[in-house]
Order: sequence, then C-alpha cells, then structure tokens
Amino acid sequence: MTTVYVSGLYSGPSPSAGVGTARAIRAAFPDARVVGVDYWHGSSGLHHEVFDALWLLPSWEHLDRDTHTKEIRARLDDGAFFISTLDLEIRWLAGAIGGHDRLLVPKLSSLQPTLKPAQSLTELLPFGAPETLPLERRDAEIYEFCRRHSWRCWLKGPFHDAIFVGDWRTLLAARDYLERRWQSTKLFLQAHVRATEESICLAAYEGELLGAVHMEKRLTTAEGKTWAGRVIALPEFLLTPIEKLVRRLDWTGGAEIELFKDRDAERWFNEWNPRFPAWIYGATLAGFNLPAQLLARAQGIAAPPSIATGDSFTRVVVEVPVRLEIGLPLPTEPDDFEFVSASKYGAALPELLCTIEAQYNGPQQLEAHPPAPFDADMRADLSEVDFAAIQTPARVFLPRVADALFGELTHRMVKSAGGRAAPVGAYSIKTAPYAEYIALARQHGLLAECISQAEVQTALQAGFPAGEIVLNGPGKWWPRSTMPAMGLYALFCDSVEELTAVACNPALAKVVGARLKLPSISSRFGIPVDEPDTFNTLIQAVRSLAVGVEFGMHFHIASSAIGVARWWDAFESVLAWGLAIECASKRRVTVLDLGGGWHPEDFFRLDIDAVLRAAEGVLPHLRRVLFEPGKALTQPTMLLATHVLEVRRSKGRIEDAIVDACIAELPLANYYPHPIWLRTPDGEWHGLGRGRQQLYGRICMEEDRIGSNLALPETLAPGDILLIGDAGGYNRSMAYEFGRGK
Amino acid sequence: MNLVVANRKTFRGWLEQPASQLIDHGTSCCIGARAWLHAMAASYAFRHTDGTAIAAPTFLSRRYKWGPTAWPIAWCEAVRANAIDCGVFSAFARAILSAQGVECYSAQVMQLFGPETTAHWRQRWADQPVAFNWIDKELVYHEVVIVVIGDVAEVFNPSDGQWLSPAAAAGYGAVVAIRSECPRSLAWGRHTLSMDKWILTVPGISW
Repeated sequence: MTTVYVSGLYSGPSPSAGVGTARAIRAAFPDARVVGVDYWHGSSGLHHEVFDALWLLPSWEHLDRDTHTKEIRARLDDGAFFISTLDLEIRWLAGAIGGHDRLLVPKLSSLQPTLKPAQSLTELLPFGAPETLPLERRDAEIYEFCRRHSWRCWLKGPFHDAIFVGDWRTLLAARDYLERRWQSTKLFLQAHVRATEESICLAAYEGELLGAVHMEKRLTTAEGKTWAGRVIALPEFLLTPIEKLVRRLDWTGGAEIELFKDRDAERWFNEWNPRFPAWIYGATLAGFNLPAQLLARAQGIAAPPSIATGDSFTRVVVEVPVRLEIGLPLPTEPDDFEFVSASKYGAALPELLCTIEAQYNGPQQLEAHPPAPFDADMRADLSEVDFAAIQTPARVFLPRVADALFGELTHRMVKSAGGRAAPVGAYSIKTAPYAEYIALARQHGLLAECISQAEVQTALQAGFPAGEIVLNGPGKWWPRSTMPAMGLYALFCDSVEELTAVACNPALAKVVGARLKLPSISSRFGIPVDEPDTFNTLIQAVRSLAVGVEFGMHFHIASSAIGVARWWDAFESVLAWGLAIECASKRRVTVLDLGGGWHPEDFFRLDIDAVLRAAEGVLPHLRRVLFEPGKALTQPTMLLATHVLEVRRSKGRIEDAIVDACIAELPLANYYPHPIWLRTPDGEWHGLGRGRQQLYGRICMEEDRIGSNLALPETLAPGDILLIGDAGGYNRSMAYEFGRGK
Repeated sequence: MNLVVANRKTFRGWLEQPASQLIDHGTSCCIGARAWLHAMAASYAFRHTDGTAIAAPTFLSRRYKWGPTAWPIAWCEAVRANAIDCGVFSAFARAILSAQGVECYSAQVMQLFGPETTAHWRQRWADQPVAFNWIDKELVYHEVVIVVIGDVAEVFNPSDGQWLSPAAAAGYGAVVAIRSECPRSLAWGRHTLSMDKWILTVPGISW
C-alpha cells in the first residue's frame, strides 16, 4: 500500500493546497494511505475525511528542526512519499533533506531561479514581465518607480504577502509591516497590471513534464484567491516553452505559474509557486489529475485515467465534524490592537524564513544606497554657508541651483517653441511666495500664476504687469477688499457660476477659461462635466463669453500624486473634452493650461514636444500651452539644516536620534522621501543610506519623524549637523511655528 | 442541449432584426451629445496607465443602468437617459471604439437565461408595449459588439462590461447563437462568423 504524506492543510480564506492534493491522490489511488501534515492546530483541513491519519506538529517556532528532519527521512526511507504544499517548507526540505526519490519537492538548485520576483524565468516563457524594483534601493528610486507606474504598485514579501501601495505614506507603513513580519528586507515592488488572472499548473519529475493545465479564474475572493475557474489543457504554444523550462530547472513536484491577461489579451508573468495550487482538485474534476501523475511517475507506474466531470469548478463552504483526537484550538484572547479577531494561520512561518535566510545568506545586510553626491552648483552654494555658526533648524537656500532650474525651464520653453502651439512657462507663486523665487521668475521671463488677489498684488509689486499674470483657483477673488486687477493674461474659472459672472466683465482677462473636473479623477476642483446637463450648462456659459475674449481650458492634477502615466491619460482626456466643448459651443480653445504638481525629475523629463503635438493634433485652433511648475522649480533649491540633540542606543547599538528640526519646519517629511547628509569632522558631507534607524524631531507628536530607515553611523553624536534635502517648495510655504514658545 | 423556442413569431423577428441604430439629428444637440460621450470615454480609457491598445468602454455599464428604452431614440436623448437597453449600449460602445481606431461591428446574440429570469424582464419591459420583443421563454435576444483583431472576433458585451467567451456555451447567460455584421469571416473560438448569418454555437435549438 502506498503511503503519501501531504502537508499544508490550512483551509481558510487563503488556503493551502494540502486538502486538494490529498483529494486528487485519493481519486486516483483509492487504497493509498494519505497522511495529512500541518503545523497548526487550527488548520481546518486536518478534519477532512480524505486523510487516513494525521501528523500534527508544533509550529515552526517550537519545532526541533533536527528531529523533524530525522522523522521525515525515516518515513521516506520506509517507503512513504512526501508532497509539500507550503512554499517555505519546500525550501527547508530542499536544504534539510535534499534529494530523495520519494521527496516530491524541487531541489535547492531548481528553486533558486524561481524565487520572487523570478523575472529570469520570463526569458524562456512567452509572457511579459511587469517591472519590479527591490526595496533595498534608495528611497528616491523607489519614489520614482511608484510615480512612473502611477502609484499602482504592489509591495511584496519574499514568499508571501502583497500590499497595494497608492502613496508614499502607505508604502512606508507597508514596508515597516512586512519587514517586521518576515524579519526580512528582501521585499520588492511590482507594477500593477490591470488584467484578469489565470494560472498554469504543472507536475514534473526530475525535469520531465508530466502534465500541465491552464486555468482562467472566474470568481475570486477579496484576497484575490481563486474561488471558481475553468480548466483546459495547455495549448501547444505554451506547452513547449514550459517543457523546456521544467527541463532546465530539473524540476520535481508541482508548480503554479500565476499570470495576468491584460485588456489586449497579452499575458504577464506574476509569480512561480513551487507547489500545487489550492485549486488543484478543481483541475482533477476537469480530468487533469496532476498529483496522481506525479505520484505514479515517482513509483514508476502508469497514472490511472482521470475522468472529467466538466471543465469548470467552484468552491462551496461546508461544515465538517471535528476529529476527536485533534479538537479545536481555544479562542485567541483579543488584544488591544485588533478590533476584529481574525484567526490567522498559526504555523509561525516567519520563524521558518528566518532560519532559512540565516542558513543560506547569513545575517541580512542592507546595501547603503546613499543619496546622489552634490553637483557643482550645490557645492558652490553650500561653500558660502557658515555651518559652524548656523543656528538650527535653519533653511539653506541654494541660489545657483535655483537659477539653473529656472533657466532650464525657460530653455525648454524656447526649445519647444516653433510649432503652432507655443509653450509658455508660469511660476506658481503659492508654492513658494518668496522674493528670491519671484525675482527669478521675472528674470527668466516667466508669467506669474496666482490663486488669490493677495498673490496678484505680490506679483504686481514684484514688477509683473497684469498682462503677465494667470489667475486660478476656487478662491481667486480673496481678499475681496482688494480691487481685482484688469487685463490679466488668463483667468480660469472653477465653477459655472464664476464663469457666468466673469463673462459679464470682458476686461478682466484676455483669456477666460474653465478648469475641468475630470470624471475619472476624484477632485473637489473644477467644473463637472460627467452629466450631459452639467456639460450643457458649461457650454451655455462658454457661449456667453464676449467675442473678443479668448477661451481656454485648465486642468491641474499633480502627477506626483497620480503618477506620470496617469497624468498622460488625464491630459488626453482633457484634449477630448476640449474638442467636445468646441463642437458643442462653437468657441475655439486657443489656450490650454496644464498646471503644475510635478516632481522635479519628472517635469524636466517631460517630453514637452510630445505634449504640444498631441494637443495640436486634437485642438485645431490651439495657440498656447501653459506650464505652471512650482515645486519642480523650488523643492530641490532649499535644504533644512539641523543639529542632533540626542542619540539613543539599545544593546549598545544606535537605534535612533533626535534632531532640533521637526515636522513644523518640514511638514511634508513623510509625504515623499528626503535625502539626508551628515557633516563630517573635516567639513565634507556624507549621504545617509538605507538602514534600520529613524530620525525623530524635537516635538511631542508621534508622527514627528524626519527620516525613516536610515543608516545612522555609530559615531553620530549630539551636536552633529545634518542637511535634509528637497526642503523647498511646500515644505517651506506650509511650515508653521510650533514648540518655540511663541 | 435541446432548447425549444416558445414563440416562433418572436424568434423570426430576432432572426430578421437589424442591429439598433441611434438617430442623429445632425444639429448641435446630437453633435454635442456624441462629443460628450467621446470625451467621457477618453476620461476612462487609461491607455497610458494600462499600456494597452484597446480601451473597452467598461465605464458604460457603471454609468448607465440597464433598462427599457423607447425607440426610436436620438443621441441627445440617449446620453441623458438613466437606463438604456442593449441596443443603446451597443451603439455607444461601437462609436467609442471606432473613435479609438478599433475595427468593430455590431453583433447580435441569443442567450439562455431560463423562464424564472425572463419572467422578471418581461414584467420590467411591460410598460414598453411597442418595444421590440427580445424576450422568449428561455432565450433572449441581445446586442453586443464585435472587435476585430486580425481574423479573430472578440465579443464585448457593453451592457455589463464583459467580454463574452466562445467556450461558455452552457449555463446561465450562455450564448447559443451569434450574428456578426463584419463583412468578412472571423473566428470566434471554434466557430466561424460570417456577415449577417446566425451561427448556432450549441446544437439543438429547435423551433
């Protein structure tokens, strides 16, 4: 009689494949002795009738690994087979036991190329590979990756877990959580693919593919797990490369290739799981009994025929009696931090991962990835600051850096001019309403973009004529005590009411336009157009504009928040709306205002020619396209200098440090990453790379964290001076007084 | 499968029914309505974010409820409706996909739902006495869109924002017959679709 041990019996919302694998084996080998193996008393699969016996073990944190190795080996030597459906257990078995004819799991050398993100596998497979980034990289690179992928990214653990991250704060929290949970820094980001999900499941023995099937997920759980699916034989164009891959890997055991199928029907590789999937019995119902094929091959016998009952399966939830010899765990005592008590798989898998990592990789070292060194302009600007005498926290303005950025903007506007639509730069005063920047804007020939009458007055006093001022925003007429300037360059209305009122005063601006609230992007700003009747109301207001006034459109969605690709989608939809407004109102759109909200790197990489040509292609009467950078021009031009107040240690090693700056001076400290440099005794600046220490501010707020996950040198001491980069822009204009005693 | 069509007259009507077309007044009302719809579709295309060539207008089924439409109906009326029928959904989707440069055509299908379901729909459409009778006892007539990719048809159902599968030939909502308006032959799974010809996708419909 064949004895088969099958591990992984957790059957909760994200089930393991043990029960399905056992059922598949039972279907083909009714007389086999099937023994269920698990490491948690609460795994409900323990009670399934498919098992003839059970081997319930302590959790991995309480298990004696050597004893477990010996006991498994003894069973294998006795003639039993062992199929694991737990990723981490498979990795451990491959190392602890290694090769054994009856251990139906892959070898270590087979596993290595399949470790997440396993992108090298796509060289042999006809699938795309979503872009990934290891999270050990510099924060600036991670931030750039997320913006480039429109903040649609998944933060993934080394074996399990995937958390969707839509902004920097979520990413920081998710990173902290996964690093603590898995005691591992081997996390990575993967770009989201908008798609339906599919899987390929296979069985192989010593590099020989025994069988493979294709499954389309039809119903999924909230966690994205398969609830129902359709299973078909693998088509030839997929069978051949998978055979080749299995041979190259010298694979033994089950495996699942998780795929995405996008809206163009292109397939993308997601993950390689080194075991049968939880839906494996669904494949058996469809006539493909892969566990049986594996077991038969390992025994050197022909696999019993498999009868299909249909090509689709679904799951149902049923109650089963509890085995008396197992019973149920006691309820977990609720703790203070969880308000919904959800029973989690209690096998202590993170403990197992720690053991495996320590065994094969030694203690984890983070690579430093310090910030980029200073460029010549920055060095020159810093050389003029007396850091010995500086009273911190103090802002350090970088005039050469600022001048270079403003100059670069003007250069790009000039370079891209020459087509029908001319690019025009305007400085967003609200971002940094300070004399040094306004002067630079004037000096470099930019317009001034204002959102209030107060800002208009600032611009006028700085020498901007009214004809070089753009007025935007929902509160542009505040304060009402000021007489509005006439003859503005452009004025974009935030509501139909405002547009109707402005239409009665054609002397206000040469260009009057509408800011649009795009249907697909949640925003409080702009005129809604998502109902035909509200669109029609806008059209009536546009028609009421005086003949001599040009009509324009404004849209402003921060690409730093929605991502660059999403910005391009929003931009193209604005062009479509412009065309719709032209068709319906018979007014021409001659000016397009694209606002600001760009990260400095993204703005200076923006293909302005492509923007202009796309806009010209849709709007035949377009003459000018306005760009209104604010933080792109100012964020990198200011640093925040701060002294260390205290260094805290634990077990002799540095844990964190307190500095005299705080979130009052750096309100956006946790909204995007900031590079940080430490002044060395010889007056040089040393960039702080990735580490495990935190930099906290001086005030009594939990969120007053100035720097996260830094490598603070053990020599750090009170009195040391640090420079925090990207401290300009809103970090300055939105700073406030706090904790200063006045 | 052995499906019996209950009402032969209704069924013959389906066989002869052309795909629905919206009226275009040719004046600013309909010009504006079509422009509005195209701009809405552009707002939900996300082609840069998704990196895909085709942006099927799945937003239509979220934006509009499915319900009776009084025909004939013009563009300017259809875009303002709270509920529209499959003919309007199909017309909207074809206009949107064509504007993207996608080759697409109207298509009609017969789907199997069963009398427990069709009874409800018959009641919902009871207030439209002159409406085209799309409901038989077990089967219904439905309008969709064919998107041509090479020589292959992909069938998009804009009423619920899903792509129909040629493999789903049984079960609730299964497509049992399809007619294409594409002037050339297309493959749909193991079926070959020819212009204006109803193709049975399962054997056994009798009438």
